[in-house]
Amino acid sequence: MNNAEAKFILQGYRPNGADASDATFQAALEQVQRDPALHEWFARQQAFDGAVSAKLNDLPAPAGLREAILAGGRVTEADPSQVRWWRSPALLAAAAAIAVIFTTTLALWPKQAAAETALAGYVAAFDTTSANLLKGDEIYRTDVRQLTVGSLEKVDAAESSLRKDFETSRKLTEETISSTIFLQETIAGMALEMTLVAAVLLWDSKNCEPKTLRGRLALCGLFCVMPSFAPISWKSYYAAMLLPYMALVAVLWTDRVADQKADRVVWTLFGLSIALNYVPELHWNRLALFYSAHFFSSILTLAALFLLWLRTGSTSHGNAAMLPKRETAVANSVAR
Amino acid sequence: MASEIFNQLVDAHYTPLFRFALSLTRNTSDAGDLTQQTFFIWAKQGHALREAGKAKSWLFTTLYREFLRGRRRAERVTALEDLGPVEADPPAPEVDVVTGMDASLVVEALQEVDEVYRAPLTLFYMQDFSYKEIAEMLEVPIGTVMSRLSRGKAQLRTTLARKESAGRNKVVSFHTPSARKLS
Repeated sequence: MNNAEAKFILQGYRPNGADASDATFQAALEQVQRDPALHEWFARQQAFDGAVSAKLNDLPAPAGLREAILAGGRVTEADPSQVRWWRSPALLAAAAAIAVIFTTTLALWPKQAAAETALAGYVAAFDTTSANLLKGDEIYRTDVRQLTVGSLEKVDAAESSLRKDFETSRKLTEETISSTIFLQETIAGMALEMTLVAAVLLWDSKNCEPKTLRGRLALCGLFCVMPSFAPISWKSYYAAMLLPYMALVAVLWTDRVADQKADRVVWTLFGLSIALNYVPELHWNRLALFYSAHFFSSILTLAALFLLWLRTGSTSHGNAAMLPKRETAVANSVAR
Repeated sequence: MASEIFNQLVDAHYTPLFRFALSLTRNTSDAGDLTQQTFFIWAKQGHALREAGKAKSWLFTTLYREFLRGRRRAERVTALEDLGPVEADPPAPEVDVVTGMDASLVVEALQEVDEVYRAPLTLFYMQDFSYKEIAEMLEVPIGTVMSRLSRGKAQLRTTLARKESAGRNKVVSFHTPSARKLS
């Protein structure tokens, strides 16, 4: 380590010696001991830093500031943010979502039984058809002459019976396939949607800072799962998605805290979501709709919001712009 | 109980927070408002902080973010790349001179340091936070903190030297035309 490097590192060494045990400074401090010129520089530096520090820490806070903060804090704490669970719309909605999932499952359950019955009918019809085919084949092979001479009527009858059986079999097969698709796609898709809705509502209910930008990220998550509440048009879906998009644009771009790096993962999710929704001739979202799963783009947007919510942590984005102005006003008036 | 904790927190930190706010805003009234606002945010959402030991760091970080938020639209923060090279060991006033200066004059000099350096420099001079904690609070790499401290101290030395020199000139101001008129 040369003197320039040592000087650079030692700029962060506090004059009260609080950093003495910090390994980062060890090599630089050893260099100070070895080099008299550096030693002299460091001594001057520490004396200067100590003098400035003492002056700064001598500065008193203005009279009345403490009282104003305490009074304002009491007003803010008195805000009834903690309500009973049945008065919380988010928790009530979560309970309703669970009830809907339960009811839907119960309502759809008999259809599974119907599908099983249809499948049994299909198997029986298939057996009958196969037996008739085998019987016809046997008759044809073993007694061609008899068939040729005197049993044309029987062949006609067998053919008619076969056609009838095949028709029955076809109908039963269609019903079975239809029921299976309904069971696999609709129920699974609805269960996925309802789970997502319940998770987002739970997220919102756990969110303790609804009036901050961070808190509103969580609320925007609700708009991502909005299409799950009712069948809506594409136009309505895009309208619902505008809010999450605006929140992401605000946090990532227009209202981004200076010096805070944009999160690449969030940007990527956001970008993919936009691409899925707005790039022409790209219809993966329709595929998702067909399978009754949630729209891919909504899920990506939801993931972006949740990730951003996680990354901002409990300290970030509690902001002045969204803090109710009346609290500051009340505190100021109390102080006066 | 929550109220007691809040009172303890205010008593322990409102003065250093005010000092930090004053160095950022350069205005006593704005600094008081910013300090109050920081505590009100705590009163509203501080209970969500899992580790009580991080309250102090949380308060300083929140204050800095509130300051940036309020300021962002008014003025663009100077980018580090746009700034000139560090002046190598600029002329510094003697330590005795700094010691003899009024505290408000030293804080005034600190307030004249570019904003991008002022925040880490003030936190450093409060001596409550290590360079690592400062980096975490300001959300910049450790190397950037060191660099900003170096540049900030250079600016502070220059400003203090200028103020000290101006103060000396003031003492012998009877040579000025207005002084002559009075005599």
